[in-house]
Amino acid sequence: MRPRWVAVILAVAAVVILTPGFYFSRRHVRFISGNESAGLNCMPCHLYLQQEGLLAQLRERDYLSPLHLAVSPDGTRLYITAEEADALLVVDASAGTVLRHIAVGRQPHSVVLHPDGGTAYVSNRWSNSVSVVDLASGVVVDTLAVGAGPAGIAVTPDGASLYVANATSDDISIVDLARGQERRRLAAGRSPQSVELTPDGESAFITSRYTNAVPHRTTPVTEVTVVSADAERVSRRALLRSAHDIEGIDFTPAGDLAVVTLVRPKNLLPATQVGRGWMLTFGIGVIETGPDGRVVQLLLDEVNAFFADPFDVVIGAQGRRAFVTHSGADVVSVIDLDVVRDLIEAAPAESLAVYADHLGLSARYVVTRIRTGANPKGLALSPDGRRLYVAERFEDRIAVIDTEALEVVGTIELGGPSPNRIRRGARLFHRADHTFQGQFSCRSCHPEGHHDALTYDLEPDGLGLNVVNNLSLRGLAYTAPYKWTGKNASLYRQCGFRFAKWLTRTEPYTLDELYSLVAYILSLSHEPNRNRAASGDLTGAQERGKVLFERERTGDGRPIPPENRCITCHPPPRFTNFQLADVGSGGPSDTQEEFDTPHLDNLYGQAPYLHDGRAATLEEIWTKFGGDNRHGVVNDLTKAQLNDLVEYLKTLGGER
Amino acid sequence: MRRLRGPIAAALLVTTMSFIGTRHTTAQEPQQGSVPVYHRWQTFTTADGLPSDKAMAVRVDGDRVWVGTDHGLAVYEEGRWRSYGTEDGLAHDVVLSIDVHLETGDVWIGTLGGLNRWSAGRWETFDQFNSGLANDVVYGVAADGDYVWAATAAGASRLNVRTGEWTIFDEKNTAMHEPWTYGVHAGDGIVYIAAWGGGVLEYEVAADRWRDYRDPDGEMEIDLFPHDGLVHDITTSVSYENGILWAATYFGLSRYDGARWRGYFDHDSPLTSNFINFVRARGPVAWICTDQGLSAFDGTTWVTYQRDSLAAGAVEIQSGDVSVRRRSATAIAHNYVLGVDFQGETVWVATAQGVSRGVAYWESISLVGR
Amino acid sequence: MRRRAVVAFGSVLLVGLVSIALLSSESDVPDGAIVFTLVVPGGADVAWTSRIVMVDPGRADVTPRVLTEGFHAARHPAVSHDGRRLLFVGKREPADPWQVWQGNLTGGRRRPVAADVRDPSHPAYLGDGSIVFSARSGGAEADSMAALFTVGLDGTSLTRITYHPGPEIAPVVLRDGRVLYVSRVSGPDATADRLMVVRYDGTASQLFYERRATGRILGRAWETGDARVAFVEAAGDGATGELVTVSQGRPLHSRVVVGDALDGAITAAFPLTDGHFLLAYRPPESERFGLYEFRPETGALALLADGADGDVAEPVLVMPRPRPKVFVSVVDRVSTTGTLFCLDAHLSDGRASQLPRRSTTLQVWGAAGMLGETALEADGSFHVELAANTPVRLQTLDRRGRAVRGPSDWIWVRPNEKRGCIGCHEDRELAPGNRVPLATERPAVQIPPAPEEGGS
Repeated sequence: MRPRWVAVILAVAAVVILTPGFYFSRRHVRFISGNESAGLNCMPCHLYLQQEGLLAQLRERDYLSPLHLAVSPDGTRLYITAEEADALLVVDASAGTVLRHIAVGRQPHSVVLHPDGGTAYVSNRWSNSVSVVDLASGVVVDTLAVGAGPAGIAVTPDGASLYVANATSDDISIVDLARGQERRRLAAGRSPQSVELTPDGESAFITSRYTNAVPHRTTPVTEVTVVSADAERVSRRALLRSAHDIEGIDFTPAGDLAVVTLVRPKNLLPATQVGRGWMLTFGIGVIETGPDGRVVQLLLDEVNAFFADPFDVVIGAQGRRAFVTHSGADVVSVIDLDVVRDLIEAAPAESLAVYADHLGLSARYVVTRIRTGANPKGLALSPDGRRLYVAERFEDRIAVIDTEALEVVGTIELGGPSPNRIRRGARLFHRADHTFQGQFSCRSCHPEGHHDALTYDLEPDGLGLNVVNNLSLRGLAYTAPYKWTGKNASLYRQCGFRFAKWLTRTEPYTLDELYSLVAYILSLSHEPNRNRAASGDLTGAQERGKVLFERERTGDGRPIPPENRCITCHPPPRFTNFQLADVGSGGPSDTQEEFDTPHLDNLYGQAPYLHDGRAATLEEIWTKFGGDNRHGVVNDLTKAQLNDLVEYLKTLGGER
Repeated sequence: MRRLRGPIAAALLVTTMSFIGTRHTTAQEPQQGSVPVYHRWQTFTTADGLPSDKAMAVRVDGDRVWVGTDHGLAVYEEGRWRSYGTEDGLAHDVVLSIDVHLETGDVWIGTLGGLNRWSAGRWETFDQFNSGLANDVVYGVAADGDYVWAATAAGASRLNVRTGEWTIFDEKNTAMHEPWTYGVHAGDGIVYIAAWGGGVLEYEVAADRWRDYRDPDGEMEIDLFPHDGLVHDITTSVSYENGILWAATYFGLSRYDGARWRGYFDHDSPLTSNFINFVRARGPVAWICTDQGLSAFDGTTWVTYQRDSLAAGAVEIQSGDVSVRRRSATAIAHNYVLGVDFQGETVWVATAQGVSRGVAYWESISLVGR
Repeated sequence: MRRRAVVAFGSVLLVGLVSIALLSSESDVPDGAIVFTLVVPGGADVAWTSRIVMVDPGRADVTPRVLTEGFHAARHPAVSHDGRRLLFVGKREPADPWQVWQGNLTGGRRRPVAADVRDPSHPAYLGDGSIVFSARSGGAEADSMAALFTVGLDGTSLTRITYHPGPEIAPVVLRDGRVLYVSRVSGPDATADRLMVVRYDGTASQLFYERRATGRILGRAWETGDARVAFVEAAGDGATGELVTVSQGRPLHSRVVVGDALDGAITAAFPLTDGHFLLAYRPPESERFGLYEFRPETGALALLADGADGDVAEPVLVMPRPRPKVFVSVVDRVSTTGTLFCLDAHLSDGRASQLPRRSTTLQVWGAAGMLGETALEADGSFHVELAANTPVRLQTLDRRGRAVRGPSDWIWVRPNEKRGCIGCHEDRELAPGNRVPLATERPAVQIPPAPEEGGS
């Protein structure tokens, strides 16, 4: 055949193949992105993010992500937990150089120093342990077993005990440091985050991230747990009504006030607007530590500007200024505590209730806002109080603030690599400037990519209709479709145009931003499942539960229709069949009966359950809301069998 | 030697005190191993702030005293009563049992509508719908170490407070013949469960091993051989202290020292009734709550309290064959007694018409000559 | 053959290079230049006129340049956020109607932005490339008050976005994407201007600033670099006033008069990035308004340009700045109604207990009378469906029919807007509380009520 004919045939073939191919691709992209004009290309889904793909290797870079830090008593050293490097960094504070990387457990959170200055304790969230680091040798000399997800820690002034906030097991460990063993386990609030001892050492205060259990669609109430160091019992649960995500805490030097960071969500309102704090507001809680002490909430926002995701707080040595990192706004707010004292001192309860929602008051007590790098997290003051160190998490950097001049006077580079797409996505996820007036970030409702234990009434479907339970974003890869309605075929669609229209009410993400954001979300993983033994062996109850989960016949031998078996809709490995199903869970305010079948990773601790969060516990899914056998045949189960089933469900998922 | 025990005990119990103006000891606790004889009782009723006079359970936690009634929970602290009801978070108005977890101070409350945890003011409810609790009727509760045990109308439930795992123990996985459990005691690595119709179950925590104690006579109401084992399978309450297991039934009291069983009945002991609601031991002394009074017994000496028709106290002290009867100006609130607990030298008693506390006792009583 | 190809290639290359050179010279933005309106007073038989002029104080050798050559009159200049393009209203001939025009700052053709409206004024660039301006609607409503409109630069998608019965003028676009404008409320005796803010689809209009005193806001209010808003406020019907700034953080409670020691007259101000201001200022001894730079920290005034034959007005700095945010509108073209829900009509200044009586009923009034009423829920909430683009006022009554609050100011909803309010006349710095409003658990009450179907 002559070359000319070959060319003609090839050209015709190309047209024949490519035209429908192009047409199909466009349709596919439209479906995935939900946007007629989306310029979405093939790369993000099929190349960048494929977990086995070549470019996926590029995702893995050795970022440090400094989270919390401590300063040595002489002020010469900084000890910094590097969350993503599983390390404790030792930094020369004056030279600004990293002296040492000390490998600790997985996902280190907080670091505190023993009063003798020779030992550091590092909580390892994913290892359920505390590393004991000998600072002279830089060696981990012991590893203390504590509860699940240890976050904040504190050593008593006598150096005898360590308090640990176990964020996943919702309790507090008190560790006897002489024996290196846990001595006491106390019930905390939900997902306790920080521990701080009063200056006199008599009490430990522990913040909590999630609301205590409250009836469905009622105002969240989150606690700060107070432990008497003497009795080692909980002596008080200071309740912050209508607030949650209480992260950082510090005391005035006199110990009369505790200041905590907080978020005031508006999850019970129809989400029809963003302006004027309609979605979330951010502020501080001021807890009077004395008997019958009041709990006052004050906002750090302004009418037209919001300062999202306050994370840590420290109070200067004089007790007159508090510094708060806003991890979603990349600023540190400086608060005049004298003004705060004057404001609340004689205020009647009625006024305090108004203050908690007042956006004008911050002008009185916020002295200034200091801009920082991306995602400012932990704070620490130098011993003389003149330097404030700020962990800039997504910069792999420490900012140094002069506490007199109230400006950044230097930075300490910790040596992380330049941002890749996932890292850029992480920044977008945590920054609030993609919502109207910076009112909230993705993180505001998904702290650490997880859930916030709240339900929401989103607008598009009408006021008061289709309340939705906010789910964790961890482990979402390969679980499309998204949303409880299953409307979104991809996260590109979920986080795209409609997201901006109905939720953030400002500019949609650009395509490049969307790629990065989705890359980050898909990279989020659950912690190792705390209910499954490292060996993978199941306990007796878990094993019995597995049999029930997979059963095809009822206890008395009657066959269960496939659609009513657990395993049909929740098959491994993701424990979802990616389909919509009507399991009889629709409520009076729902406009549809079928909902997306959720994956079941790390279900424990993710209460509430069901699409609208009606089930306060896993048991309620079947005892209260599954009586018609549509959400799996359960009516023949004994209570003990249901317990076994629950125990098995709690083992599903884990780190992926 | 055995024949001498009674007279020796009587000889040891010498007193020169009269009933009126008796020395009121405040500085020391009743001697472990002796049975204190209370003669001054204070009674609290709705007039004092209790939500109801019908007290079902009492439990002491340091300076606090928790009382469960048929209309809510009350706590006595710093001289005042404070009530909690369902509006506060109590699972049900009728409170049947209370225990305090010594390490954490968490108070576990068994009600007709589930189990509550009160922890420094925070209420949580565990019921058969929202948790793995076997049944909402929680007759007995005991918290020890990482576990909370609930004796329910459908078996015993165990909550691991660290992991949140619930385990049900009933006729399917233990020697329990009836899953209707009435009382539970947990401590020192051992758990005893009083099962209605099932005798007493023993669980060794470390060994994860169950065994049961039954009445060899079965459920016969007349115990043919009172010392051959548990006096009856219908048990209502258990207590275990100093290596002694005390089991209450509606047909008498059993004492088991690990080797031998002893049975006690109204016809052969000062026990005023075989209908025993509750038993709790302190040291060697068991306090037995019946429908006709309160008894304390250390294996040798009995002290029995009743309220007479003139609202005065009738106290009978018996050791061996010797007994004395005394009257006291004050008495327990009512002879239908449902619970007892101890606060230092004070004894608290839950009755059908109020809560009483015994605040003064004779250090010793002469059983001979007066 | 080859030579021809080389020549052709060379020609193409040359044309390309020249084009690039021309284009790049056009994009040579004169940052730091200042655009203003020069108003030339008329005489007994000569009408006043005005033109838009650009000066560059940084380059003394460059003479002021008239940007509106060929126009009889031009005013209300606005510069795009990239600092390259110019918007203004103008007329080529005295008899022409005013029209919005656009063009490059560096010169070239001026093109009209077609819009069927009358007397357009104060055009401003939105973040999405379209513009917002004030005008009276054309056609049958020719006598209507000025309202705000948006339109594409190609004249498409003309949309009225405000519906207040009073004039709504002088819009500017804030960095957050909203439109800040002056709303003139005329009472029987006096006129009071206030600043309002609205999303550029006309939703969520709300008060930004008011002084609770009679007076005017002269021209536009501009956003400063330090999160404030600056404008010139005149007492009564005055034509000059004082330079005022308010914080965007709490605009209702942060009014500061800047440079109150200035003893001359001000008609307009524009904030510079360093905290200084451009003023259209007339010193006491002078007859003309000149262009001045004012430094509040020292009180220093520097003359940048005098008006020669006229008065300097409306100065605007040419400087690239962040593009205002855009957003995706919820307003649609098919809906004819929107809904309004209020969380707690009892809430007033943050304290419900201050009200003299407890309201039980909400009345909705239109321009021609009452449109309907509905009972308030027990928690004070209500949820009503209203005709879109129609101004209404609200009033609450107690159970005996006595007015408790209201009538309110005129408000409106846009098609498919679901507008939420926290209270009635509540403290405008209050964020909403967090509880489920009872009224949102039921469908909205239609006002006016839907006609009953099948009725005889």
